[in-house]
Amino acid sequence: MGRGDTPGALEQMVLLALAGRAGEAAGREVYEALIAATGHEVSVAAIHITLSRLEEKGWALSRTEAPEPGRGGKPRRWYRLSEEGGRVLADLRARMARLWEGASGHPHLRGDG
Amino acid sequence: MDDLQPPCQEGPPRLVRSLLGRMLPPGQRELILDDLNSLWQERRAVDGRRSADRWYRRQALSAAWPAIHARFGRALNGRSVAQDLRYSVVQLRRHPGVGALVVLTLALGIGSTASIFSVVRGTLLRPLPYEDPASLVMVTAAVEGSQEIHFLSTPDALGMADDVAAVAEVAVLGETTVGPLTGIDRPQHVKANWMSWNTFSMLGVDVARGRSFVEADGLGSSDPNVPESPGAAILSHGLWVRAFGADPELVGRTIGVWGDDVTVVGVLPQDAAIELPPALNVGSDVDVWLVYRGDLRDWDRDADWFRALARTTPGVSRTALARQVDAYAARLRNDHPRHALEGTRFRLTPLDQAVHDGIRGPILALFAAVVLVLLVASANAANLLLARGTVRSGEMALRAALGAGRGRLTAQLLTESGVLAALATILGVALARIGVDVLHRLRPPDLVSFDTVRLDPVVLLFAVVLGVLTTLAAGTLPALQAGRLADTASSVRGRRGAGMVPRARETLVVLQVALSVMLLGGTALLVRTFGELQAVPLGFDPDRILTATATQTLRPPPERQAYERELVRAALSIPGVERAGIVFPLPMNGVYERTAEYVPDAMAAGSTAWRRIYYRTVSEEYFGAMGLEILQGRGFQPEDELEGQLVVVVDRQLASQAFDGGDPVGRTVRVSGIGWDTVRARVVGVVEWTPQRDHRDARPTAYFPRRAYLSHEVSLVARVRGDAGIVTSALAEGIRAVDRRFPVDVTPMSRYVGDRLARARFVMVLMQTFAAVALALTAIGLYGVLSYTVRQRSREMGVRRALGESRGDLTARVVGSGLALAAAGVGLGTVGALAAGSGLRSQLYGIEPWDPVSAGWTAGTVLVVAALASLIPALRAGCADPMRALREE
Repeated sequence: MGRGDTPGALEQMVLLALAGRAGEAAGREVYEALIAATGHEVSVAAIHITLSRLEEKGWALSRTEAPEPGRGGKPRRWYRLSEEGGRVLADLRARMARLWEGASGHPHLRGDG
Repeated sequence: MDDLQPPCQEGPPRLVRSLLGRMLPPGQRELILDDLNSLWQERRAVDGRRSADRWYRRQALSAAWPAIHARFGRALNGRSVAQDLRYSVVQLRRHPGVGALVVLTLALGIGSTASIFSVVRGTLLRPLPYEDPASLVMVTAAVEGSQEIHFLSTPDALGMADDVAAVAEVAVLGETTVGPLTGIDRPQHVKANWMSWNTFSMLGVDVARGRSFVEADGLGSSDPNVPESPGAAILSHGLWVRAFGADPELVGRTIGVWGDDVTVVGVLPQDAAIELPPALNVGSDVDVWLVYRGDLRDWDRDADWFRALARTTPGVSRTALARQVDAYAARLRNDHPRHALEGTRFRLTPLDQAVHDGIRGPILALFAAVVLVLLVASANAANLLLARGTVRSGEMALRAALGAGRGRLTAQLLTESGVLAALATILGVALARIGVDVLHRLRPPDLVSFDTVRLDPVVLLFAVVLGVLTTLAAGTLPALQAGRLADTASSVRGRRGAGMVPRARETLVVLQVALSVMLLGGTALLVRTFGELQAVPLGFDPDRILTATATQTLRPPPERQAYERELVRAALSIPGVERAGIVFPLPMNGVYERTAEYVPDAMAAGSTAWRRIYYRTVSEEYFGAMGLEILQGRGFQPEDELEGQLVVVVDRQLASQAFDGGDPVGRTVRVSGIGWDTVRARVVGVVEWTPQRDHRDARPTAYFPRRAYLSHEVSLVARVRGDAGIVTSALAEGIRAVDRRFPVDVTPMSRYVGDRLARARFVMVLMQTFAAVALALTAIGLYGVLSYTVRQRSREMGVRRALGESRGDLTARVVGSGLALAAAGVGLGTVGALAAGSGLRSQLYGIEPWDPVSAGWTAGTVLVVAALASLIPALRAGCADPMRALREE
């Protein structure tokens, strides 16, 4: 298992949140998207750190926005899904789908239906 | 960063924010803090500040892990260490019980060891507070045929500095005396000590205000007809505050000490501790230091009560020093008949060794005890970790089957140990802090250098090293076991793969029991010793006796007895006082002791078989007031105070030692050391023995009428009816009224007697605590092993039940196996306890290190505790379900 082949759980969630935004998202937007989707509090710092790791791995792209007065002149970084990132997600989804296909017959899973 | 918000706008908790800022990886720091900040503002607007702060703190906590990982993950080689760490935390949270027990166990061991280490470091390991303490020595004299420490005369002592090249400087001190401080509003007793002017400068003791003593302070008046100018005095910081309200103008003023005018030239610093060997009987709590004046080299060579300290010449070897000092002693024996007669030699003891004499034994015993506790704790932690390892063996085997190598699993478990070590160390340091506080509260009054006992960085480092070492030691066995599991990955259910575990755990329990037996055995010896000491017949009932100590320096000796009679009369006039008498020195008050030497008259004159005794001078009412029984002959009568042959009352010890078993009454003894001459005294009676220094002191005493030595200090003993506490203040007032110029201290005899036992009690109480901790840990260990065994063998138990064994049989079987383990430990431990007992020998009194009562008590206690610890698992075994066992088969 080489490093960086399969995204970890938080990475998956952040990638999906980026994908869900179609356009761009900053850490703040990802945070809100994750809370909305999961109903759980998540770590802001973990999201930022994950975003920068996704970029390192080539799964996300970023640009730094010019200062805007409302934020005290501080820059913001915006992220979006890269092509590679999209491929990883699609790949993951296909693998999961195959597993799901095999699993969906289980009585415990059917009950939830 | 603070300019994020307008100055007066509130922000998230500052401390948390700044810690978080430090933790976050650069490059993301600002982004994250910005987001957190604006989210905090929004939360505050909606839910209020407290909720927002709480949220912020949670966010900061949850940032810790990703931040550490992002910053250091790679440096630590990766994911594995980081994963191990994270996994360890998860594991601890999943099995909090075992983890908490391990942490608590180790923390107890680390905490107690660190507290006692702080004592070792604060006392034995700390250099004396002097300049170049390594070159300071205590000089005492040894006399042929005597085991006693003898002191020196000033010419002998100071001559050593002149004649011995290896000795650079010599200083002499007198015994600490308790005398009146006058010339102030409220006279009081102070501890005063004379010394040669160079003592402080030789030791390197500095003053905080004023000046130290100089040579001119030691000069006497050359013309005996000219009254001497006031001498110089240096006060302790304590007295300066207590008696003079820390008056900054005090230096230069004249005060009265012992009736002499002295000029205060300096005040010692607050933290100055003049620590001197206990053998010198110079108190560390001296209030006033005074200077001997005159030509000390010309003082009487027979006045051999001066305590000598010396500084050796740099670079001189110990053997050269000893040789030169021996040669000096030989010259003295040659030149002075008395030294020839006594075969005088000098003994040089390194000062630090002499200072710590007496406390080294108890402190090292405590340290050894606490190391035993630490070992028991480590064994216990290892045992618990092994138990958990067994429970988790399935998980380990699964991980091994999935490809985790032996090293990987071992590393994982060691990482878990590391997390435990960190927690245990933190808790252990906290416990050590409490422990040091408790030690300070329990400290016996005579442990001098205790103020320097604290948790300093070295003690902390010691605790941390202990924490790491013990946890690694405790974690290694389980880690090895996991490694073995990885090798036998086939056993996914992990039952047979853990084959070594039971043996290892049983061995650990036997070890724990053995160590506890050692500790408990030592404690039992000390408890028995304490009991023996308390049972020492003092000859009097301390609860019924009040003492009052007064000084009468200013009275000429003829007036002293009149004053003493007034004291007795005043005491008797107080309701509740039954009898009263006069004595010097008071037994067991820890200040003075007076010794003389005697030979039974039958022996040849000039015999060197002089033996040392205590002497006291007492009024005729003393024996009655103390309740000391007259065993033979009579006590003193008023006529004994008149001119004529001196009479003596000997105590039971002396009566049995000095007269070859014959009747001492009517015999004559020669005693030297009371006054200048050897006196002859006729024995008129034998009285019950009473100790002078403490309960261990078995030296005999001779009693003389007051006229033999009219001491400047005098104590009244009063026997009271009922509660001594009620009479105390009335007695103090009544005695003060006799002469208001001087202070009087009234103290119950029971307090003095209790103080003499304080050190033994201190050591005993600590040992009891440690023994109890060790025993509790051992019980936990034994319980754990048996529970485990019972669970492992539940099927077997069920089958046995099915085959007709009764519940009681099974219970007995398990208790039996627990007792077997305990018995093995007791056997091993008793051997160790014997060794420990010999190490304690100097602390013991009235019993031998191999005391059978202590050994029996220890073994019994351990076996009872073992039986109790076995009982719950045993009862569980008794409940094994035969049906289930059969079904599973």
